[in-house]
Amino acid sequence: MALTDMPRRVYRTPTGNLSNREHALHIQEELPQTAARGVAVLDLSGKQFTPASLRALIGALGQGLRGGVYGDLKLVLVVTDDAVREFIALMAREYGWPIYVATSTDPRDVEEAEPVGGLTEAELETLREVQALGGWATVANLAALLDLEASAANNRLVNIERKGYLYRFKRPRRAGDLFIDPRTRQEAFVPPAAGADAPQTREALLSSGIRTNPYAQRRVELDSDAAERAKQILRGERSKRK
Amino acid sequence: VALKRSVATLANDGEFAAFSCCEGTDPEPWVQEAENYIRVRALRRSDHCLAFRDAGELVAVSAFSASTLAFPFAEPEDHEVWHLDVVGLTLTRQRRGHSGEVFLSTFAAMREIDPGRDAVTAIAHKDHAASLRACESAGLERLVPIDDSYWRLFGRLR
Repeated sequence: MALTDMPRRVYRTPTGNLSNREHALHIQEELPQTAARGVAVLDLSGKQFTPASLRALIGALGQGLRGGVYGDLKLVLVVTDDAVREFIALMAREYGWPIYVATSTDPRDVEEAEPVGGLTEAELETLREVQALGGWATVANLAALLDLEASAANNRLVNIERKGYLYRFKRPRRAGDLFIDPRTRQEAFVPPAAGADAPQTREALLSSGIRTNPYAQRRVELDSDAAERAKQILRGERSKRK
Repeated sequence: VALKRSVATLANDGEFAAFSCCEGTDPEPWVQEAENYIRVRALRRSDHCLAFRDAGELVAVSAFSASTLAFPFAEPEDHEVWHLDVVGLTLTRQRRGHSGEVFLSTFAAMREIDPGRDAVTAIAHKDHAASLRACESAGLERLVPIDDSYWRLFGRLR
């Protein structure tokens, strides 16, 4: 198995009504109880829960992840209902469970899945940078990109890994351990071996003090004048500014 | 002579890795960034990559991804659009009027892929005059500054 192989499987349940606690709990039995690394994408979109059944399922999943029941598995929950999403996030944050939440099972949406369980702002920023780097980072390249001391970069990566949101692969001291974001699509992954001498995304900008990320543009929110002008453009109205 | 457009995949990795659109030994960082993105990330990161060739030679590249424009306040709504991740022309094709052709051909590809997405966003550095000029010639206008460095541009697909 190559270093970057992270088998991903989507789990779906035919039962739409999961308001019964026992039915809801049955879902978690589908997940593999294995020590191998991998990503389980559990599709809960369109399912009906009661607060009790949802709490039972998320509690079982969260405790299982934290307790190592699923080995080194990373979990992405697919949820379309905002209230369910918020409930999951509240529980994950409260108990520190390593859960990602995505809006669909599409690999691109999984790549954008939100880590909901108790990461600090700095840790969230670090995860974004790891993704921007191509799904992996070492202490050395993260420190260079974020202009951090090596010890600070190490602390960030190690803390995120301990919280269950990154994989860590031990390598010889000279190469440095590799931290991998499990959400990354296989085809989006720039292999570390091939990328060792290659330029890093945003390297040129960051080294010039420019923090803008021109590529994270899956959702752009506009307000005030920009929103008004964008709507005019969509209606085909020409600019009055000259 | 019209450039020939084709879809680029990871099979084109070698060609993209050697693509050069950056002049001199000390280019502006935003120009260097575009070249780096094309060389290393575009084929892996962007939803769609296009290669433009003249007599088989790769002379220009564009890449774009699906995006959602959201208006969260006052009559909240979402609008599905494209985001133009990058456009690059090789040095020999710069300043020769090819950029307009590459933009319009990229827009045509966008319409073919999803006729429902009828607008495009882009980001350009405020000091990157050639990039801003090319975007504006293609019908994108400066919508709002993102920060001290970059403009967000937006326009309907022509």
